[in-house]
Amino acid sequence: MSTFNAKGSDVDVEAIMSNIRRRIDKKRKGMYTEDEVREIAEMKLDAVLDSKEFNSDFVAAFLARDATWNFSFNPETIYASSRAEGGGFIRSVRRLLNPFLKLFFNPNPVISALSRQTDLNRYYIILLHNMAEEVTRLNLELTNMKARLRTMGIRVDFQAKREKSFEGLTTRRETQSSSQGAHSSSSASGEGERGGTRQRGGRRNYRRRRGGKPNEGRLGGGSSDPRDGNSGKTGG
Amino acid sequence: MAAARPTHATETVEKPEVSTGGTRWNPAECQPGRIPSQPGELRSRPLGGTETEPLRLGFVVQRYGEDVNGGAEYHCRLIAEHLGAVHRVEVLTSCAKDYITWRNEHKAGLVRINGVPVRRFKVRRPRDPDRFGRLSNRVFLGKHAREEELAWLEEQGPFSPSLVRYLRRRERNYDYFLFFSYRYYHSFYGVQAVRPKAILVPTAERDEVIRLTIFRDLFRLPRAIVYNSIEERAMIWEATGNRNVAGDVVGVGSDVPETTDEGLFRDKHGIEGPYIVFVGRVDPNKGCETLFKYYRRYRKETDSKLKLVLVGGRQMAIPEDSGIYYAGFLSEPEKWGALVGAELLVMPSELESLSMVTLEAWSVGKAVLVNGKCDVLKGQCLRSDAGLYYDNYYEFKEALTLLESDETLRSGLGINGQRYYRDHYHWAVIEEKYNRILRALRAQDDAREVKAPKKGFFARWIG
Repeated sequence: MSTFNAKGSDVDVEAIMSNIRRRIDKKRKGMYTEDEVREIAEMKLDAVLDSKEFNSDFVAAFLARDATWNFSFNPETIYASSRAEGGGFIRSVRRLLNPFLKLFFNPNPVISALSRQTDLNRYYIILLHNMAEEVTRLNLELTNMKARLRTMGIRVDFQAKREKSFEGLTTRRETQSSSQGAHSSSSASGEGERGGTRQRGGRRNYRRRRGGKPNEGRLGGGSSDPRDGNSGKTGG
Repeated sequence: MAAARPTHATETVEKPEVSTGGTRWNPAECQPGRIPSQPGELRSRPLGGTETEPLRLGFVVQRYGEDVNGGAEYHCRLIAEHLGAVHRVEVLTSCAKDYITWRNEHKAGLVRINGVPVRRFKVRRPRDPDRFGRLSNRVFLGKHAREEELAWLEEQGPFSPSLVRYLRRRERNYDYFLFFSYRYYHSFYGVQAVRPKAILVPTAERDEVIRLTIFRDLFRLPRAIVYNSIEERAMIWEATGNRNVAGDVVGVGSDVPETTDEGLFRDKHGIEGPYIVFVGRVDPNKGCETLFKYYRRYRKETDSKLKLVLVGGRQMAIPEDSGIYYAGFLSEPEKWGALVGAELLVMPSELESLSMVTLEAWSVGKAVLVNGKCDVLKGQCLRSDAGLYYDNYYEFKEALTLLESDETLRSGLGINGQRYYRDHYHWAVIEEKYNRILRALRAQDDAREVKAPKKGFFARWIG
């Protein structure tokens, strides 16, 4: 069992919501918002449909000028006459003859079907518009995904190369330290010292010959090891 | 309106009190006028202090009964039962039970429900769905004439001319009529029939119906309008330009139990662990489809252990998901247990004139997460500082993550909600607001009666 306690609280919903929105904006940086997608979808629609005398707000235009786009049909249409004068008379005569017409066939299903068709036309237009919008949205999303995938691929490549260069560096250092250990053990004779100096000098000469600086093989600067194939690119 | 349906109602009206940390909250301390005054708001002139004289009130609503499933109807019943303690209340309604067909299912005549007399009138013709669909297309999708709107309204129903005829004939037997839901036949023709005594409770939502020309005129006819929220009033003002009609933002209260038992719900339904709850009709129109989509994606992306519990009738298929539990209709104690046991209430509906469930959640100190596209819910969250809202999935995810992880925030929001409910939606506040409107109208009528010249030459000459 619980009782309800009311105390004061300093929660500010507006501040929390703006914080949430800021966080979302940060996360979704570079991605389109729903409104932007809709806007772009409409622009694309313009480009596709202008040639056919349509535009992006053709649904609104269609609904506003229903009679121009769609045919209008109601139960009275089959009796109506387009003549200004005498139209009423013709309509009355047709109505009078209606029972005879019904002897030949039943017009009611036709009237009903055509009435329904006018409504369906409206639905189809709205549906088509929404589908075009949705396809554009998906297209944009696909493009966006492709771009992200490409970026990620480049990053993965770069990381792989970086990893390799690290491995190379570590192996080299290990080799270097082991060889240094060997030299220091034999440092009692002066020959050993000379030999070491010669080796370092040889390494420097090798680098100069390659045209690189002594530090170029370090982190982030690309490897000087000709085997790793990295020519100093920092990646995507 | 989303509303929780109570399965019981008592004849005697109890005014629930909310405990405020040891000290009892005094309803007399409430400030009904906290919502800022607007042009056209009623200025009441007290009649003999703040005492309200008993009036004869007619409540006119499309359907009525404990078994009726609808927000506006439930709203009407609560108000009728509560005002019935002070005034002589009678409900005038149709014999229909189903709001789609308006078939006559109850007997015409007078019955008593929870002590309130209810007079039912036959619906002359049920709704023809084909014709209604065709007329709706014509009226909402293209250019149309006023006659077509009237034909649509007739088909919208409940088409009961006998109810309107009764109002016209027996107008003198009532002091005022309260019409619930502007969009139905009874309100449109009823308000016109008893215009000087009509008070309209529109329960309007932000949809295309409010834009129909026939309703533009309707909102200028009644003596007063009782709005559910500030947003509803702003929307009606904008759509109909009826600022000069007197009115006030009132809403509706809720019968909050003094104590609730969370275990009652958990034990019966075998719910373990944290959950969020949705109470109302499980219906795509209530935003449930989107809620399912968002919730499932949220669970997938965050590995959250939060369950989603659904309480209420079902109008759509519920996806097979281990996290979603459909509890169906619940008894009142169970429903309150479900609310109290939840981490928060989620309200995904876009169209609400007032969400009673949200108010109920606040009344028991629960935070809410609502659809930000519904300006009423969003406005209430901002005014009360008692809930978060979302406009899209990303906001839903961030808000729910925050609420799920931060218990202090949840309880802070809940406390604010409880305070907001107590200040604006406690029954004492609601009743006082209604009585204030009635007193003001009565005062205006009394003043008018005094000023009116006596009829007939001799009466004037002698007097």
